[in-house]
Amino acid sequence: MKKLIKDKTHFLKDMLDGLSKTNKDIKIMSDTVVVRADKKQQGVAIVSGGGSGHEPAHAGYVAQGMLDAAVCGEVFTSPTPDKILNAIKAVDNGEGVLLVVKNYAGDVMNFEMAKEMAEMEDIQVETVIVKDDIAVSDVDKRRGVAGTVLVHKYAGYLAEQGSSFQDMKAQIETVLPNIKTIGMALTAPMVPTTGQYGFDIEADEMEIGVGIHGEKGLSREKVETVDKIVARLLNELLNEVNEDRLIVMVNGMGATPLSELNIVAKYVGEVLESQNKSVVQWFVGDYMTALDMQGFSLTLVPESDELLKALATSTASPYFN
Amino acid sequence: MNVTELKQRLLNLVDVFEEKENLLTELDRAIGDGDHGVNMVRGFKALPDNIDDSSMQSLLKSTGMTLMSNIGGASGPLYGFSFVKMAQVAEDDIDQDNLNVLLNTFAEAIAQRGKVELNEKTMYDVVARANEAAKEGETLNYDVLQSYADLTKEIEATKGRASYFKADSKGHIDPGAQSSVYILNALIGDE
Repeated sequence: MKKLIKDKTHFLKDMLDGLSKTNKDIKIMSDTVVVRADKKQQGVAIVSGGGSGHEPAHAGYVAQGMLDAAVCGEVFTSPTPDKILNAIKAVDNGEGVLLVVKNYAGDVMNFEMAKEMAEMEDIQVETVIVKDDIAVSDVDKRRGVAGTVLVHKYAGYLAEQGSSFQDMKAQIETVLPNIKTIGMALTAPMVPTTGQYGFDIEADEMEIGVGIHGEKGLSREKVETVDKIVARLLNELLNEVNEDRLIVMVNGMGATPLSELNIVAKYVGEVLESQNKSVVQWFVGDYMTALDMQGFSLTLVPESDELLKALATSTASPYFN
Repeated sequence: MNVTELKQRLLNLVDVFEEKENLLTELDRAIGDGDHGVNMVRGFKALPDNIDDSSMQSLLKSTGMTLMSNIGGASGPLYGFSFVKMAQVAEDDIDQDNLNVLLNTFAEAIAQRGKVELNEKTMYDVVARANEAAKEGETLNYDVLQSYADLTKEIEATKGRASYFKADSKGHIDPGAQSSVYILNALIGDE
């Protein structure tokens, strides 16, 4: 394995040490919990998290205007309930704590246990579960992927607007079913903690509908040119999205050059224009990655005035723009 | 089995998981994300520093809390919660009757926390079958437990990360089912 690490068991700690050394607006507590250096005193506190390996998610979004805490698990491994509980307690200011959870069995279970423990300590906690990955046909089992980052931004905005705890959960849950994502991979990620590739894929193959840990999606196929791949993915997405004015995220999976993400964006724009749809806001970059997997995901969300405003409002996160 | 014996068997599990780490990694790479081996090793490595042998109940509870705080993923809360639940029904010395109660509690805890049923290709398949066998008065040993894990090979996963592989999940033993063989083996006292 050729990786820029010192020791596979120090991967998480070394990464967080580096992050906190270079960003004075955050601090690390309980080893793996990233919180804002200046605790938010008013408004619902937002906690997210999950396995590591998805950087800049989630720690990179701990900032004014987005998350109050991110709980970082080991690589591709959900964080544990005690750490999540510590994060909840650290950010709670009495107005409630909202957990933004990606729909993976481990994440859902660990966050649920932490919620139960926090409620025993009289902290109000609610959960929203993101299920944006349309590659899974059963809607209840859809994974939470890149669309989660838009939820972080929306939640952070609502909290700063002074939205009440229950209103906020309801507002987010109105938007959640409209966020649709599908991903693809050219290569598997090298998982530094095991020294193994996440899955096996031939040099001339691609995985359509891949999850952010390399889970299988729709199909394994011979690789095509990017215009055909984009048309294929948009075809799946547009089966579920009827609106004409869209917010679009082109998300890199970690080892996709920005040049290629821009090429993807060009063809996304062309296909949408040909169907008389327009993109009202673009996000192009690495938002929710899978270590060094090559590939990308596309997220479509129908515009709404509220969501556009939320996404356009500034945040101190250097990773959301 | 008394506290000292069970403590030793639980502490020995780190050696078992280190020996089986690659096997669990391979099973998990096939139908999951490849982290099950490293997670189980990390969980049991934390045990010596956190285990409390002042009573059988404390032994099981401290084991559960340690696993819950160190394994992560889905198996962390499942194993952790199960041990904490077993602590509530454990007697000072575990005889066959109490073992049956523990197994029943283990199975109920996994079903409750994992919202899982039999034949969904998970650790529950092994724990639930062990529980049923114990109830019927059948003798459990390592080979029997392994045969329960082997049964997960030919079914399609409908829960957990393997379920995304749908029919392709067939042909592989579920990694959680495999790790539960080692944990149950420690509890039942087979070599």
